[in-house]
Amino acid sequence: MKSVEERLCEAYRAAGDTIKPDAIRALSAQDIRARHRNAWLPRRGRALAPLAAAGVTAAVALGASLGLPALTAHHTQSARQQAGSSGAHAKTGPAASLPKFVVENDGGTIQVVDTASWQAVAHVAAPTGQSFESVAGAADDRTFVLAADLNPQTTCATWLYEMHLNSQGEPGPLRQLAPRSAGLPTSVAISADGGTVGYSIVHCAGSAAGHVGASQAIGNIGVLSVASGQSRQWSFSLAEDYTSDLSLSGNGSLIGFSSYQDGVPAASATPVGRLLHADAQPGTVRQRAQILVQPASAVHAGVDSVALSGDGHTLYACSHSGSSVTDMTQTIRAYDTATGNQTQVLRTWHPLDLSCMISADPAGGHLLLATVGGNTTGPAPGRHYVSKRLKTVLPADRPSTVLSWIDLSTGAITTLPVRIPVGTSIGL
Amino acid sequence: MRQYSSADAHHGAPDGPVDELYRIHALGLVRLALLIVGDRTAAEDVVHDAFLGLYRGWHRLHDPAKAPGYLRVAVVNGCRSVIRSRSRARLLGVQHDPPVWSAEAAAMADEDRRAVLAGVARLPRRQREVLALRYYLDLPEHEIAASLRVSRGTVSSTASRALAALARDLREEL
Repeated sequence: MKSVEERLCEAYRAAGDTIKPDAIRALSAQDIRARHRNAWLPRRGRALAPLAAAGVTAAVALGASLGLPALTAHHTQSARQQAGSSGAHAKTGPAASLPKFVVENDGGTIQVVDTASWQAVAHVAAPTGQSFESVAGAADDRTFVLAADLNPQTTCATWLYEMHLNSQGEPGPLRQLAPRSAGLPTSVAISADGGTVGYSIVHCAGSAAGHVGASQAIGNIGVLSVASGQSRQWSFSLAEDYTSDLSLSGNGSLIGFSSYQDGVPAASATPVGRLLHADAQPGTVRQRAQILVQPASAVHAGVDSVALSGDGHTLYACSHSGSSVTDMTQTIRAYDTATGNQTQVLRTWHPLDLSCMISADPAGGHLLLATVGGNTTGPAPGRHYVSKRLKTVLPADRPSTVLSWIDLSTGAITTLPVRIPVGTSIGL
Repeated sequence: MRQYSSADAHHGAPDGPVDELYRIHALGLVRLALLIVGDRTAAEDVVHDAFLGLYRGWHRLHDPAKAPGYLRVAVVNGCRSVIRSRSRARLLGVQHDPPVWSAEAAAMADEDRRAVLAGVARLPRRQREVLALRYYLDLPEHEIAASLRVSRGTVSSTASRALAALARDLREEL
């Protein structure tokens, strides 16, 4: 009788041989499209208009992820000034006010990295069979929240864990924060004070999938009190699509995120920046969340990601706009959360991709950027995937990613001495 | 959605090297992706995206000899993306091509082989990846470790667990 290994090798060969050498599609530029958030829809025969209209944020690419805690910033907040893209050059080296520890997540293992040396000082394995999908840190630089799932092909559940580091970066045991939830995690956030956890999950239908209307709920955004275990949720619809860029204000009272608009024609649906009060009554995102950032009226326009400042007064948004795919500009702007007014234009540049992700530090002094290295047309060496998210997902096909640190008062950029490997997703 | 266009060409590689790599490696990579994601359309998409990434990042690739390794990593990560996204798509009733090992696909006549691959498909993601890299590409442990960004010990233990789980699964079915 054949061993399992022999049977496996034979099965693999037989499956591989079903693809004949002369039947591979040619590599043509017209056939290649950048992966976006609706990449899971079949390349041929996309059936759902609302989601077919979606498509500017990054693909759900899973690989390593680097989670930066909400940053403890000791610098004073100075007056902000307009900072354009021209003439700004990055310097490389240590940056002020960085957290001491960040965590890098490859799904199965969390690595704790000391930012003084950028060396791993500890590892945490995911619970048996599970994968970490999103990670975020609190302002104490020692408290992290992690969202995990099991094999998403067979299990549709989310686990939330809390992890504490000691002063040497050594982690204590993972503590499960709540009973597992039905659905898969798309984003996780933690308030700077560590008292509130934000999460986004999307449901699965199992094997009995059926048609879902554009305005039907497909998942929830929620907040969880770490102390009491009580949670509150708001559902989002298929048309709105799931979010991957949740952020919380420092005290957990506000939730910022981006998602598509419901109730508009699919062809004109674009992602918008939203604000949700954590004490809002349960309901739908459409009912309870305010649209704070609306994209410009252009043929190609949308909000790629947003980031809520620690004090909750500012929502940063990275948006793209253009009349065609070849004349896009990408801009980071700041908006007053009380009035919705734009208060600052931080940067503008011509992107080659529309992955734009930003992360704000709680003191309001800096934004963290994830940059693809090498290009010189962006505002710093390398295209800037300005990342605001607590979990930011970058396309898997990037050779390397550079992290940069923008001083909001001067526009100065410092490139951090760390590279993220190919296939990374970055949690900020 | 932004589409790749000739306007981007000056930012990427000259056509020659990537085309040559495509000729050499595309078939193997598509087959590898097929074993992980199950269907050919998705497998080809993943591989095309990996080559697009290589094309765009060519000028940052210090050692072209490392391109095949880069492509392998990109394909594995692309497959992860497809699998994760599909689980979310299930609620939409989105129809994907049936996996190659399903009876519906009818691409593989041998029932035992289909059962083996269906069993693999029920394993956790990392176990599936390790098995494909080890038993299809026949990669040594250190290359699998590099491709998946895990330690060699993790590769070994993951493979052992995967085989044990697969054996249990197959015994249950037979």
